[in-house]
Amino acid sequence: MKCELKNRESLISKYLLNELSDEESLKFEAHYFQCEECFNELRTAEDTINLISDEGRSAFQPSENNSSNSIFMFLKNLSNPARIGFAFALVVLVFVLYFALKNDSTQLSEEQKIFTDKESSQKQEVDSLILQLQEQTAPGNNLIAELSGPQFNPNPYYEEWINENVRSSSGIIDKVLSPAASDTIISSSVLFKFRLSVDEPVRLVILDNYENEIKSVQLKNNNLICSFTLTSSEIKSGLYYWKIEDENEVLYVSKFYFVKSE
Amino acid sequence: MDYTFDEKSLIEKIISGDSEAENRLFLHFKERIEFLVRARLRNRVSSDEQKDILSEVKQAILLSVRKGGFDPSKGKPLEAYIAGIVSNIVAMHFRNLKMQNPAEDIDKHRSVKDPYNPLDDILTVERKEKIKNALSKLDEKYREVILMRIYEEQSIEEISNQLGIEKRRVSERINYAFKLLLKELKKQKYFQYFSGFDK
Repeated sequence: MKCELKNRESLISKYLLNELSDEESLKFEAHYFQCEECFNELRTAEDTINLISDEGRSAFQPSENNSSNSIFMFLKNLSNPARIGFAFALVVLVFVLYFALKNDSTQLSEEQKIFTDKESSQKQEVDSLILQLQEQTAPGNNLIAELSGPQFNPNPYYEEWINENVRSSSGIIDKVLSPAASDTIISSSVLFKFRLSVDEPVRLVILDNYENEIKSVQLKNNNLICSFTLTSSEIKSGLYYWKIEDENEVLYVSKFYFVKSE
Repeated sequence: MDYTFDEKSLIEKIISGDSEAENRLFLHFKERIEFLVRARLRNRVSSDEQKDILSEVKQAILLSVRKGGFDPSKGKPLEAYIAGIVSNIVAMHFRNLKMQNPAEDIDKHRSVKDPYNPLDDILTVERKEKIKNALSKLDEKYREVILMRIYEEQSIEEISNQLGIEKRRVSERINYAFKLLLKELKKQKYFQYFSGFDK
Protein backbone atom coordinates (compact mmCIF):
# COMPACT_ATOMS: atom_id res chain seq x y z
CA MET A 1 0.00 0.00 0.00
CA LYS A 2 1.47 3.37 -1.01
CA CYS A 3 1.21 5.81 1.88
CA GLU A 4 -0.51 9.04 0.94
CA LEU A 5 -0.27 10.69 4.32
CA LYS A 6 1.01 14.20 3.69
CA ASN A 7 2.15 15.25 7.14
CA ARG A 8 3.71 11.97 8.22
CA GLU A 9 6.80 13.28 10.03
CA SER A 10 4.77 15.76 12.02
CA LEU A 11 2.32 13.05 13.10
CA ILE A 12 5.17 10.71 14.01
CA SER A 13 7.00 13.16 16.25
CA LYS A 14 3.77 14.35 17.88
CA TYR A 15 2.57 10.79 18.44
CA LEU A 16 5.82 9.67 20.05
CA LEU A 17 6.02 12.81 22.19
CA ASN A 18 2.38 12.48 23.33
CA GLU A 19 1.19 15.64 21.63
CA LEU A 20 -1.75 14.14 19.77
CA SER A 21 -5.27 14.01 21.16
CA ASP A 22 -6.78 10.59 21.91
CA GLU A 23 -8.83 10.82 18.75
CA GLU A 24 -5.83 11.73 16.59
CA SER A 25 -3.78 8.92 18.14
CA LEU A 26 -6.53 6.36 17.46
CA LYS A 27 -6.74 7.46 13.85
CA PHE A 28 -2.98 7.32 13.35
CA GLU A 29 -2.74 3.92 15.05
CA ALA A 30 -5.36 2.50 12.67
CA HIS A 31 -3.26 3.90 9.84
CA TYR A 32 0.16 2.59 10.82
CA PHE A 33 -1.23 -0.88 11.50
CA GLN A 34 -1.75 -1.01 7.74
CA CYS A 35 1.12 1.16 6.53
CA GLU A 36 4.63 -0.27 6.34
CA GLU A 37 6.25 3.07 5.50
CA CYS A 38 4.79 4.89 8.48
CA PHE A 39 5.60 2.00 10.80
CA ASN A 40 9.23 1.96 9.64
CA GLU A 41 9.52 5.71 10.20
CA LEU A 42 7.88 5.39 13.60
CA ARG A 43 10.39 2.74 14.67
CA THR A 44 13.25 4.85 13.34
CA ALA A 45 11.98 7.90 15.24
CA GLU A 46 11.53 5.79 18.37
CA ASP A 47 15.16 4.64 18.17
CA THR A 48 16.25 8.26 17.73
CA ILE A 49 14.23 9.45 20.73
CA ASN A 50 15.59 6.57 22.83
CA LEU A 51 19.16 7.46 21.91
CA ILE A 52 18.69 11.16 22.72
CA SER A 53 16.91 10.31 26.00
CA ASP A 54 19.79 8.07 26.90
CA GLU A 55 22.81 10.06 25.77
CA GLY A 56 21.71 13.70 25.62
CA ARG A 57 24.08 16.01 23.75
CA SER A 58 26.60 13.25 23.01
CA ALA A 59 23.95 11.63 20.79
CA PHE A 60 24.71 14.44 18.33
CA GLN A 61 28.39 13.51 18.07
CA PRO A 62 29.31 10.55 15.87
CA SER A 63 32.51 8.66 16.71
CA GLU A 64 35.51 10.56 15.37
CA ASN A 65 37.38 7.47 14.20
CA ASN A 66 34.38 5.96 12.56
CA SER A 67 35.43 6.41 8.94
CA SER A 68 39.08 5.45 9.45
CA ASN A 69 37.98 2.44 11.43
CA SER A 70 35.80 1.14 8.69
CA ILE A 71 38.51 1.47 6.01
CA PHE A 72 41.55 0.19 7.88
CA MET A 73 39.85 -2.08 10.40
CA PHE A 74 41.30 -5.16 8.68
CA LEU A 75 44.88 -4.00 9.44
CA LYS A 76 44.35 -4.79 13.10
CA ASN A 77 43.88 -8.44 12.22
CA LEU A 78 47.08 -8.73 10.17
CA SER A 79 50.38 -10.11 11.46
CA ASN A 80 53.49 -7.82 11.54
CA PRO A 81 55.12 -9.22 8.32
CA ALA A 82 51.77 -8.85 6.55
CA ARG A 83 51.53 -5.22 7.70
CA ILE A 84 55.08 -4.51 6.35
CA GLY A 85 54.09 -6.17 3.05
CA PHE A 86 50.96 -4.01 2.87
CA ALA A 87 52.97 -0.84 3.53
CA PHE A 88 55.52 -1.78 0.80
CA ALA A 89 52.72 -2.47 -1.70
CA LEU A 90 51.20 0.90 -0.87
CA VAL A 91 54.52 2.71 -1.55
CA VAL A 92 54.92 0.91 -4.90
CA LEU A 93 51.35 1.82 -5.84
CA VAL A 94 51.98 5.49 -5.06
CA PHE A 95 55.09 5.51 -7.34
CA VAL A 96 53.27 3.79 -10.20
CA LEU A 97 50.35 6.21 -9.94
CA TYR A 98 52.69 9.21 -9.80
CA PHE A 99 54.52 8.28 -13.04
CA ALA A 100 51.32 7.27 -14.81
CA LEU A 101 49.67 10.61 -13.99
CA LYS A 102 52.79 12.57 -14.90
CA ASN A 103 52.84 11.08 -18.43
CA ASP A 104 49.13 11.69 -18.81
CA SER A 105 49.42 15.32 -17.84
CA THR A 106 52.19 15.90 -20.47
CA GLN A 107 49.93 14.46 -23.16
CA LEU A 108 46.99 16.42 -21.88
CA SER A 109 48.77 19.72 -21.96
CA GLU A 110 49.50 19.22 -25.69
CA GLU A 111 45.88 18.33 -26.39
CA GLN A 112 44.76 21.30 -24.34
CA LYS A 113 46.62 23.69 -26.64
CA ILE A 114 44.43 22.58 -29.56
CA PHE A 115 41.24 23.06 -27.54
CA THR A 116 42.29 26.35 -26.00
CA ASP A 117 42.25 28.05 -29.39
CA LYS A 118 38.72 26.81 -30.08
CA GLU A 119 37.57 27.72 -26.57
CA SER A 120 38.95 31.22 -26.74
CA SER A 121 37.03 31.95 -29.94
CA GLN A 122 33.86 30.54 -28.35
CA LYS A 123 34.48 32.61 -25.22
CA GLN A 124 34.78 35.74 -27.32
CA GLU A 125 31.40 34.98 -28.91
CA VAL A 126 29.75 34.45 -25.49
CA ASP A 127 31.34 37.65 -24.14
CA SER A 128 29.99 39.67 -27.02
CA LEU A 129 26.52 38.16 -26.49
CA ILE A 130 26.58 39.10 -22.79
CA LEU A 131 27.71 42.59 -23.73
CA GLN A 132 24.83 42.92 -26.18
CA LEU A 133 22.36 41.76 -23.51
CA GLN A 134 23.77 44.17 -20.95
CA GLU A 135 23.49 47.03 -23.41
CA GLN A 136 19.86 46.10 -24.12
CA THR A 137 18.98 46.09 -20.41
CA ALA A 138 18.64 49.42 -18.66
CA PRO A 139 20.75 49.62 -15.46
CA GLY A 140 17.69 50.07 -13.18
CA ASN A 141 16.09 46.89 -14.49
CA ASN A 142 19.09 44.64 -14.14
CA LEU A 143 17.25 41.89 -12.29
CA ILE A 144 20.25 39.61 -11.86
CA ALA A 145 22.10 42.35 -10.00
CA GLU A 146 18.97 43.30 -8.04
CA LEU A 147 18.30 39.74 -6.86
CA SER A 148 21.74 39.15 -5.42
CA GLY A 149 22.98 39.79 -1.90
CA PRO A 150 22.39 38.24 1.50
CA GLN A 151 18.80 39.51 1.67
CA PHE A 152 18.00 37.09 -1.18
CA ASN A 153 19.68 34.04 0.33
CA PRO A 154 17.13 31.23 0.63
CA ASN A 155 16.21 30.11 4.14
CA PRO A 156 16.63 26.31 4.22
CA TYR A 157 13.89 25.80 6.83
CA TYR A 158 11.20 27.59 4.86
CA GLU A 159 12.45 26.33 1.50
CA GLU A 160 11.99 22.78 2.73
CA TRP A 161 8.57 23.63 4.05
CA ILE A 162 7.46 25.10 0.74
CA ASN A 163 8.75 22.08 -1.13
CA GLU A 164 7.00 19.82 1.32
CA ASN A 165 3.76 21.62 0.46
CA VAL A 166 1.81 19.73 3.10
CA ARG A 167 0.11 22.56 4.90
CA SER A 168 -1.86 23.80 1.95
CA SER A 169 -3.62 20.43 1.92
CA SER A 170 -5.75 21.20 4.98
CA GLY A 171 -8.58 22.38 2.72
CA ILE A 172 -9.20 25.65 4.60
CA ILE A 173 -7.40 27.64 1.91
CA ASP A 174 -9.39 27.25 -1.27
CA LYS A 175 -7.10 29.21 -3.59
CA VAL A 176 -4.17 31.60 -3.29
CA LEU A 177 -4.65 34.43 -5.76
CA SER A 178 -1.64 36.65 -5.02
CA PRO A 179 1.33 36.66 -4.89
CA ALA A 180 2.03 33.61 -7.05
CA ALA A 181 4.48 31.13 -5.58
CA SER A 182 8.12 32.29 -5.99
CA ASP A 183 6.92 35.41 -7.82
CA THR A 184 9.33 38.29 -8.40
CA ILE A 185 7.54 41.53 -7.58
CA ILE A 186 9.03 44.80 -8.82
CA SER A 187 6.66 47.28 -7.27
CA SER A 188 5.97 49.71 -4.45
CA SER A 189 3.61 47.26 -2.70
CA VAL A 190 2.69 43.60 -2.43
CA LEU A 191 -0.90 42.40 -2.54
CA PHE A 192 -1.80 39.26 -0.59
CA LYS A 193 -5.09 37.79 -1.67
CA PHE A 194 -6.56 34.35 -1.13
CA ARG A 195 -9.91 32.62 -0.92
CA LEU A 196 -10.97 30.48 2.04
CA SER A 197 -13.26 27.47 1.79
CA VAL A 198 -14.66 28.03 5.30
CA ASP A 199 -15.53 31.17 7.21
CA GLU A 200 -12.90 31.34 9.93
CA PRO A 201 -10.38 33.91 11.13
CA VAL A 202 -6.86 33.51 9.77
CA ARG A 203 -3.57 35.26 10.34
CA LEU A 204 -1.14 36.39 7.67
CA VAL A 205 2.51 36.31 8.71
CA ILE A 206 5.32 37.74 6.57
CA LEU A 207 8.96 36.96 7.37
CA ASP A 208 12.26 37.94 5.83
CA ASN A 209 14.81 35.30 4.79
CA TYR A 210 16.33 35.35 8.30
CA GLU A 211 12.93 34.50 9.80
CA ASN A 212 12.42 37.97 11.28
CA GLU A 213 8.73 38.71 11.45
CA ILE A 214 7.94 41.69 9.21
CA LYS A 215 4.19 41.65 9.62
CA SER A 216 1.61 39.57 11.45
CA VAL A 217 -1.97 40.55 10.88
CA GLN A 218 -5.33 38.96 11.68
CA LEU A 219 -7.53 39.02 8.58
CA LYS A 220 -11.28 39.10 8.23
CA ASN A 221 -12.75 37.73 5.06
CA ASN A 222 -15.19 39.35 2.72
CA ASN A 223 -17.29 36.62 1.07
CA LEU A 224 -14.42 34.24 1.97
CA ILE A 225 -11.84 36.46 0.21
CA CYS A 226 -9.01 37.79 2.36
CA SER A 227 -6.71 40.52 1.19
CA PHE A 228 -3.94 42.67 2.57
CA THR A 229 -1.50 45.13 1.01
CA LEU A 230 2.03 45.51 2.28
CA THR A 231 3.60 48.81 1.27
CA SER A 232 7.24 49.25 0.33
CA SER A 233 7.79 51.49 3.38
CA GLU A 234 7.50 48.32 5.45
CA ILE A 235 10.00 46.18 3.52
CA LYS A 236 13.30 46.39 1.68
CA SER A 237 14.24 44.48 -1.45
CA GLY A 238 14.75 40.83 -0.59
CA LEU A 239 13.38 37.33 -0.38
CA TYR A 240 10.30 36.98 1.81
CA TYR A 241 8.33 34.04 3.12
CA TRP A 242 4.69 34.28 4.03
CA LYS A 243 2.27 31.95 5.70
CA ILE A 244 -1.39 31.73 6.53
CA GLU A 245 -2.29 30.29 9.91
CA ASP A 246 -5.46 29.57 11.78
CA GLU A 247 -5.55 29.11 15.54
CA ASN A 248 -4.38 25.51 15.27
CA GLU A 249 -1.81 25.26 12.53
CA VAL A 250 -0.02 26.70 9.55
CA LEU A 251 -2.27 26.38 6.51
CA TYR A 252 -0.06 27.64 3.73
CA VAL A 253 3.58 28.66 3.20
CA SER A 254 5.03 30.40 0.17
CA LYS A 255 7.66 32.96 -0.83
CA PHE A 256 8.21 35.93 -3.11
CA TYR A 257 11.13 38.06 -4.25
CA PHE A 258 10.59 41.76 -3.76
CA VAL A 259 12.47 44.44 -5.65
CA LYS A 260 11.61 47.86 -4.36
CA SER A 261 10.44 50.31 -6.97
CA GLU A 262 9.51 53.81 -5.84
CA MET B 1 7.65 -20.74 9.14
CA ASP B 2 6.50 -19.34 5.78
CA TYR B 3 2.82 -19.07 5.24
CA THR B 4 0.34 -16.87 3.46
CA PHE B 5 -1.69 -14.54 5.60
CA ASP B 6 -5.16 -15.44 4.39
CA GLU B 7 -7.30 -13.12 6.47
CA LYS B 8 -10.69 -14.67 5.75
CA SER B 9 -9.78 -18.30 6.41
CA LEU B 10 -7.73 -17.31 9.47
CA ILE B 11 -10.70 -15.57 11.07
CA GLU B 12 -12.96 -18.54 10.26
CA LYS B 13 -10.45 -20.90 11.88
CA ILE B 14 -10.22 -18.73 15.02
CA ILE B 15 -14.03 -18.71 15.31
CA SER B 16 -14.00 -22.51 15.04
CA GLY B 17 -11.43 -22.69 17.90
CA ASP B 18 -8.16 -23.28 16.01
CA SER B 19 -5.36 -22.18 18.38
CA GLU B 20 -2.73 -22.39 15.60
CA ALA B 21 -4.71 -19.74 13.68
CA GLU B 22 -4.76 -17.55 16.80
CA ASN B 23 -0.99 -17.73 17.00
CA ARG B 24 -0.68 -16.79 13.35
CA LEU B 25 -2.85 -13.73 13.91
CA PHE B 26 -0.69 -12.56 16.81
CA LEU B 27 2.52 -13.29 14.99
CA HIS B 28 1.27 -11.13 12.14
CA PHE B 29 0.46 -8.15 14.37
CA LYS B 30 3.01 -8.75 17.14
CA GLU B 31 5.43 -5.94 16.31
CA ARG B 32 2.71 -3.33 15.86
CA ILE B 33 0.81 -4.29 19.00
CA GLU B 34 4.00 -4.21 21.08
CA PHE B 35 5.00 -0.92 19.53
CA LEU B 36 1.65 0.71 20.26
CA VAL B 37 1.70 -0.35 23.92
CA ARG B 38 5.32 0.76 24.25
CA ALA B 39 4.78 4.09 22.49
CA ARG B 40 1.79 5.11 24.60
CA LEU B 41 2.75 3.72 27.97
CA ARG B 42 6.52 3.45 28.08
CA ASN B 43 8.11 5.03 31.12
CA ARG B 44 4.68 5.42 32.66
CA VAL B 45 4.27 1.78 33.55
CA SER B 46 6.96 -0.79 34.34
CA SER B 47 8.00 -3.39 31.77
CA ASP B 48 6.14 -6.04 33.83
CA GLU B 49 2.96 -4.00 33.67
CA GLN B 50 3.49 -3.63 29.93
CA LYS B 51 3.59 -7.41 29.64
CA ASP B 52 0.33 -7.65 31.60
CA ILE B 53 -1.28 -5.12 29.29
CA LEU B 54 -0.07 -7.10 26.27
CA SER B 55 -1.76 -10.24 27.68
CA GLU B 56 -4.92 -8.24 28.26
CA VAL B 57 -4.79 -6.98 24.67
CA LYS B 58 -4.31 -10.49 23.35
CA GLN B 59 -7.27 -11.76 25.35
CA ALA B 60 -9.52 -8.91 24.19
CA ILE B 61 -8.63 -9.48 20.53
CA LEU B 62 -9.35 -13.21 20.81
CA LEU B 63 -12.66 -12.71 22.58
CA SER B 64 -13.79 -10.20 20.00
CA VAL B 65 -12.72 -12.27 16.97
CA ARG B 66 -14.11 -15.53 18.42
CA LYS B 67 -17.56 -14.05 18.83
CA GLY B 68 -17.53 -12.73 15.26
CA GLY B 69 -16.68 -9.12 16.12
CA PHE B 70 -14.71 -8.72 12.89
CA ASP B 71 -16.97 -8.49 9.89
CA PRO B 72 -15.07 -7.91 6.60
CA SER B 73 -18.34 -7.00 4.86
CA LYS B 74 -18.47 -3.79 6.94
CA GLY B 75 -15.51 -2.52 4.95
CA LYS B 76 -13.17 -1.96 7.92
CA PRO B 77 -9.81 -3.64 7.32
CA LEU B 78 -8.60 -6.24 9.82
CA GLU B 79 -5.56 -4.05 10.64
CA ALA B 80 -7.78 -1.12 11.65
CA TYR B 81 -10.03 -3.45 13.65
CA ILE B 82 -7.08 -4.89 15.62
CA ALA B 83 -5.55 -1.42 16.08
CA GLY B 84 -8.89 -0.19 17.46
CA ILE B 85 -8.99 -2.88 20.15
CA VAL B 86 -5.37 -2.27 21.19
CA SER B 87 -5.80 1.52 21.15
CA ASN B 88 -8.90 1.35 23.34
CA ILE B 89 -7.25 -0.82 25.97
CA VAL B 90 -4.13 1.34 26.04
CA ALA B 91 -6.25 4.53 26.21
CA MET B 92 -8.14 3.04 29.17
CA HIS B 93 -4.84 2.39 31.02
CA PHE B 94 -3.68 5.89 30.13
CA ARG B 95 -6.87 7.38 31.62
CA ASN B 96 -6.42 5.29 34.78
CA LEU B 97 -2.88 6.61 35.13
CA LYS B 98 -4.22 10.15 34.86
CA MET B 99 -6.79 9.46 37.56
CA GLN B 100 -4.18 7.90 39.83
CA ASN B 101 -1.82 10.86 39.36
CA PRO B 102 -4.09 13.89 38.96
CA ALA B 103 -1.37 16.35 39.93
CA GLU B 104 1.12 15.00 37.42
CA ASP B 105 1.31 16.21 33.86
CA ILE B 106 0.92 12.74 32.38
CA ASP B 107 0.73 14.01 28.80
CA LYS B 108 4.18 15.50 29.06
CA HIS B 109 6.89 13.53 27.36
CA ARG B 110 8.92 11.65 29.93
CA SER B 111 12.05 9.66 29.44
CA VAL B 112 12.47 8.52 33.02
CA LYS B 113 15.01 5.76 33.03
CA ASP B 114 13.48 2.35 33.37
CA PRO B 115 15.66 -0.40 34.89
CA TYR B 116 14.66 -2.28 31.77
CA ASN B 117 16.26 -0.24 29.05
CA PRO B 118 15.10 -1.46 25.64
CA LEU B 119 17.81 0.61 23.98
CA ASP B 120 20.58 -1.72 25.09
CA ASP B 121 18.74 -4.68 23.67
CA ILE B 122 17.70 -3.15 20.40
CA LEU B 123 20.26 -0.64 19.21
CA THR B 124 23.50 -2.05 17.89
CA VAL B 125 26.63 0.11 17.60
CA GLU B 126 26.01 0.39 13.87
CA ARG B 127 22.45 1.63 14.32
CA LYS B 128 23.49 4.10 17.01
CA GLU B 129 26.21 5.45 14.73
CA LYS B 130 23.75 5.99 11.89
CA ILE B 131 21.42 7.93 14.16
CA LYS B 132 24.33 9.97 15.55
CA ASN B 133 25.47 10.79 12.02
CA ALA B 134 21.99 11.99 11.13
CA LEU B 135 21.70 14.01 14.35
CA SER B 136 25.10 15.62 13.79
CA LYS B 137 23.80 17.15 10.56
CA LEU B 138 21.12 19.16 12.36
CA ASP B 139 21.60 22.89 12.86
CA GLU B 140 22.10 24.09 16.41
CA LYS B 141 18.63 25.66 16.64
CA TYR B 142 17.03 22.28 15.94
CA ARG B 143 19.40 20.42 18.28
CA GLU B 144 18.51 22.85 21.02
CA VAL B 145 14.74 22.26 20.90
CA ILE B 146 15.13 18.51 20.41
CA LEU B 147 17.37 18.27 23.49
CA MET B 148 15.06 20.44 25.57
CA ARG B 149 12.01 18.44 24.55
CA ILE B 150 13.40 14.91 24.70
CA TYR B 151 16.39 14.90 27.05
CA GLU B 152 15.39 17.70 29.42
CA GLU B 153 11.72 16.64 29.19
CA GLN B 154 10.45 20.20 28.89
CA SER B 155 6.97 20.91 27.58
CA ILE B 156 6.42 22.97 24.42
CA GLU B 157 5.26 25.85 26.62
CA GLU B 158 8.37 25.71 28.82
CA ILE B 159 10.64 25.71 25.76
CA SER B 160 8.67 28.59 24.27
CA ASN B 161 9.11 30.66 27.44
CA GLN B 162 12.77 29.81 27.76
CA LEU B 163 13.69 30.61 24.16
CA GLY B 164 11.28 33.52 23.84
CA ILE B 165 9.68 32.12 20.69
CA GLU B 166 6.07 31.18 19.96
CA LYS B 167 4.84 27.71 20.96
CA ARG B 168 3.91 27.12 17.37
CA ARG B 169 7.49 27.83 16.32
CA VAL B 170 8.82 25.33 18.86
CA SER B 171 6.54 22.63 17.42
CA GLU B 172 7.54 23.59 13.90
CA ARG B 173 11.23 23.22 14.73
CA ILE B 174 10.71 19.81 16.33
CA ASN B 175 8.63 18.56 13.43
CA TYR B 176 11.09 19.85 10.89
CA ALA B 177 14.02 18.29 12.76
CA PHE B 178 12.26 14.93 12.64
CA LYS B 179 11.57 15.38 8.96
CA LEU B 180 15.29 15.95 8.30
CA LEU B 181 16.33 13.07 10.55
CA LEU B 182 13.95 10.57 8.98
CA LYS B 183 14.96 11.66 5.50
CA GLU B 184 18.64 11.20 6.35
CA LEU B 185 18.14 7.85 8.06
CA LYS B 186 16.05 6.61 5.15
CA LYS B 187 18.95 7.59 2.88
CA GLN B 188 21.27 5.59 5.14
CA LYS B 189 18.98 2.57 4.64
CA TYR B 190 18.02 2.47 8.30
CA PHE B 191 14.78 0.62 7.48
CA GLN B 192 16.79 -2.49 6.62
CA TYR B 193 16.91 -3.25 10.34
CA PHE B 194 13.17 -3.75 10.51
CA SER B 195 11.22 -6.75 9.39
CA GLY B 196 8.10 -6.22 7.33
CA PHE B 197 4.63 -7.56 7.95
CA ASP B 198 4.99 -11.28 8.61
CA LYS B 199 2.86 -12.61 5.80
